[in-house]
Amino acid sequence: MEATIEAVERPSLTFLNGSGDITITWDEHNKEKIIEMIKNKMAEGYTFFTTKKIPLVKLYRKVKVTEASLDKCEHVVIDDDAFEKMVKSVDDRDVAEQVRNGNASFARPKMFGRAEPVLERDPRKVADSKAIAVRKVAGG
Amino acid sequence: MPQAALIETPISGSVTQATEPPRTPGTRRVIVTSRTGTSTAITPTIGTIANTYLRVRDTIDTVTASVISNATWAEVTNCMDDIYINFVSDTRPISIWTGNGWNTSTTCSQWIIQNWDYPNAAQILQNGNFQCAKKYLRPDPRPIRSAIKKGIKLITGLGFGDEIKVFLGGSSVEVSHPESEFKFVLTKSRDIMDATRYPGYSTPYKLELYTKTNVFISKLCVIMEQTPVLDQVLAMIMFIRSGDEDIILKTANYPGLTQDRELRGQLALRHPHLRHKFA
Repeated sequence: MEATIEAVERPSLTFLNGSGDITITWDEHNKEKIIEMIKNKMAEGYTFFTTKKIPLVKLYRKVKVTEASLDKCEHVVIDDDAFEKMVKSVDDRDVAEQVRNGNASFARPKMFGRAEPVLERDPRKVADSKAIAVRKVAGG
Repeated sequence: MPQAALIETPISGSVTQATEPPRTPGTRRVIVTSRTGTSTAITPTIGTIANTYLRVRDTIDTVTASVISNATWAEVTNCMDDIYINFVSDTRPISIWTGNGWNTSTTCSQWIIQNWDYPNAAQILQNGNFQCAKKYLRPDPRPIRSAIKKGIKLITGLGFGDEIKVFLGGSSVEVSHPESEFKFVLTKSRDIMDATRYPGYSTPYKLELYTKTNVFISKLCVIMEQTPVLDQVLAMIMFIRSGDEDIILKTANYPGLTQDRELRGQLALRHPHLRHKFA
């Protein structure tokens, strides 16, 4: 396993959904596609909170991923089948598509400190920050 | 199985319904198909049942089913996720509604009950029993545990670890914004595995609204759609801490609103955008 231990500051989006929470990150050249997705999600009723306290480790996977490897490595690569399994497990078709198309990659947030959330309505600001997406709020 | 318990399942009015009625919140549908592709050969002893659907009602220890004409859909009620998850034994007694009454000995072996997620997971046997494939008896707990662990990790990482520990311990968590006059009290009310697997269509925990002087205002019922319970708790904390609790207060239903009309009047005056809620 080739691995570099390096925390990388990147924008990220953590979706709270049926599969727990899924965090993705992306490169600058894919930012517009992510903004488009955020706009669509906002139209669906999603709420986005930004926070400044989540440095990210981006993940490329190559070997069987363990908790330990995720904590230590930045770049890990997995085979296609495992990748597809991961994508299928995401309880959000749009997010899964972005990852499958290579516009975004899975990430695991490493967090510390108390994050004071701020509700953000500007998709561009969301795409520039570490954000958490909450599905539509409804009366129960 | 006592017949009286079976007959209480409402079926009248649906027998001749040709189109699919609206889905009932909190239910899962199943498809009913026949192995032969024709339904007329399936039930020679009870006559022709064309285009049937099955309604399954799962209570604590019984499953009842009714086959009714002129529909090809089925609906499952009172189930946590799908009709299989609550089954703890291989077989369950069922009865088939034939149009003339409940029939527990009908030859229904050619019916297979399919579920969106688990096709061919169960079938009705000739003896009237309902059998599940063993591997479908219970849902895989691993993704549920994973969702819980991820939720705890995320919440803790965001600095709300103390709150979530208190919540999981069964005590009440008080959350408020410094500039708000309200205080939200969150209390675990369901098994955490259960509430993660099926958050449902009402708040998967107890949510109450108080004034900061500890005067009860109302219970609140509000959800984040299809989101596990811990993530809903996190979302609720974020809405409140960010000062955007009005989104919650405007959207929520208020079951058990205080009977104190004076308090409600004062709240309506101070929060005109919530007047209809406190009225």
